[in-house]
Amino acid sequence: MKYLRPTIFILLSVAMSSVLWAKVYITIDSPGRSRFPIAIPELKNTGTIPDVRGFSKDLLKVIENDLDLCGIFQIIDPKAFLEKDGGLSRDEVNFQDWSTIGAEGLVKGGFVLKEKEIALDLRIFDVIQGFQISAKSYRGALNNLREMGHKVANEIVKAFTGEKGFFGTRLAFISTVTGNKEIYIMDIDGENMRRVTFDNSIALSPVWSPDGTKLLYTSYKMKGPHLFVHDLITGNEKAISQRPGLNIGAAWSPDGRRIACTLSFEGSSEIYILDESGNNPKQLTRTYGINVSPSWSPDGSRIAFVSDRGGNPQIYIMDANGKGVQRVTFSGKYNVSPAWSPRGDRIAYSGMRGEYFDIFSIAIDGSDMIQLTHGEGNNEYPSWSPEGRYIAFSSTRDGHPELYLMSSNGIYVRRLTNSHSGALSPTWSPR
Amino acid sequence: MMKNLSLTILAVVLMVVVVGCPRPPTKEMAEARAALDSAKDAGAPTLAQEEFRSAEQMLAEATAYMDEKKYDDARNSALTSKKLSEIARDKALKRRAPGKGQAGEGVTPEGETGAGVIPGQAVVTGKGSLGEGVTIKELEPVYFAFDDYSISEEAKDILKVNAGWLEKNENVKVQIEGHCDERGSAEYNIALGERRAKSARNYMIQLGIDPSKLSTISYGKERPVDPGHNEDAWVKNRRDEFVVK
Repeated sequence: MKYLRPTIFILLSVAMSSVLWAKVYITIDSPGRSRFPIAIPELKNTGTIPDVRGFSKDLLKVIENDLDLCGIFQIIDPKAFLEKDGGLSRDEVNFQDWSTIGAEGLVKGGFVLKEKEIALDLRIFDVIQGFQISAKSYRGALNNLREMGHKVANEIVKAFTGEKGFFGTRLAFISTVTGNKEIYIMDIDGENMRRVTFDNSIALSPVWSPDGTKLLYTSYKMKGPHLFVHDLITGNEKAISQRPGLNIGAAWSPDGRRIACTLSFEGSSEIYILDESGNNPKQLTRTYGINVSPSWSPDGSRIAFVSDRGGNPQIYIMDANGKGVQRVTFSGKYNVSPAWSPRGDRIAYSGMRGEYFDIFSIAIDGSDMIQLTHGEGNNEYPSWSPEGRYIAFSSTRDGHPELYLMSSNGIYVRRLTNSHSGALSPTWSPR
Repeated sequence: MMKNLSLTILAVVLMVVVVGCPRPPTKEMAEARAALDSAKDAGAPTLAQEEFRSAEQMLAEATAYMDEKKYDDARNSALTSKKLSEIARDKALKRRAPGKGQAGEGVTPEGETGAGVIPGQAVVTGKGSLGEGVTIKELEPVYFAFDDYSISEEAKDILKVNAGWLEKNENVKVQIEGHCDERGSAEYNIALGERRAKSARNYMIQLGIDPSKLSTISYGKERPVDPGHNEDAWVKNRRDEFVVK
């Protein structure tokens, strides 16, 4: 315990601030950016059935791909490994062999194959201090190795940062590959992409239900912009609001029982709250102007939104009953698409600076504004990862719009899609 | 010296008052209120429900704009409300006293409603053959500044011509489509496009066009006429289009 504390503290700092990663660890491909060096030797078959089909290698590939995606780790090339015949337990690990090649973290696994499943015994070590941080057992179906791999990768991130990773989550987004805007979903690592809507119209603004089983979105398929709910399990779809005028930009409350959205059936475009079936509209704003893009605080007590009441679009927050309105952004003349962070303390948004849009984040009291992207094309539609350490967004930095993710301080950026046509407006699923 | 200074201050204050701030449209507000009252007296709340409600809504909007000192918006809403009240009153009166030459649907009410309309240059021949979703050459689009929905003087001239055409082609209904350029969020632009469509609709109501002939829809930035990513394209894309419904 004595040794544990300072190490955990350092590792937590690693997670919170990538500036610290740079200070301590090995520099890799991108200059000025460093990752935590970690070694993951081949998983060891401790059972009796030989792994002739290479299941353990497939599992490891999922884990390594996840760890690479999050940008925290540098996975050491196995060719550099020195340790021979090392075991799983702390006493059987030769920490010297691992520290010599620069590893500071070590992940080992022993597996047993059965007819339709694989059991994994996972050990995570701190090489420098020479102790075991975590030990866990997993069991998973051989035809669903990805799910198990994401769980293992989440545990590894938790061991080194104090909090689980985002692996196994999904993105909903808009693709223009058919020529129309349609909603798609994919796993955060780019796998399992699937088209959700076949509206042949304009589908916009997808958001996830808090349980991750449904999408709420805006579509012109019945002429006007209306709100629809699409059940991802059954494929059923139903209209939630088809009132005259606008029915756009909806967001489920964290408890899933209310829907905030913009309606204009009473004249101007105002924020309303509907019940989960789209009835009983309660008007929250009353400015006779533009009020759009509601985003709930994680506790459901407040809503961030965009209003032009001050002469141009800016981010505001209000209580969920419409009272206590406060303006959050004052810098720039065009700030839109607010996304309230899962930790509750910040709002990400996109703002126009000169020619282009960039992503910013700001404390909810309007202080501590940070610019996260810097004029490489248009950067828009920020959406936080469920644990709040990353932001997905779309950017035209490589020509047409594609999806990217970045650390919440903007230092680490990674492209997620290669659509060749256009992918935009991502929203991150719950865990 | 002291006197000079106060004179200067007075002059500056006067300049600001006269030039800087638009004057509150108190006259238009009073007229709108009076028109609404007279519509109410004529029985419009029950006999011309839809028009009366729109007039009420528009007056509430004007009042809110007055509170926020958005005088241009207040004036526009007051003028539109007044016209809607007049239409509601006329409809109510007609429905109360029928038999007097049964007015057909879509006929603009009598009175001073036609004032200010410049007649359209051309009447479409064979107006019965107009299909749905057709863009009519005579109904020209109007254009807007970035993040703006106000009707410019040029746009007013175009809307007068369009109104004239609609008066000549009295069986035609049009949908006004509001559009935006590609900059900014999809959602904000849909709301902005709706304001643009409603601005044109309100102005045409002020010109005397029957509101029931004018519907609106916003496509935000989703249907550009020019797919370019520069000011040339943006100028063309910030527009209202008039489509026969």
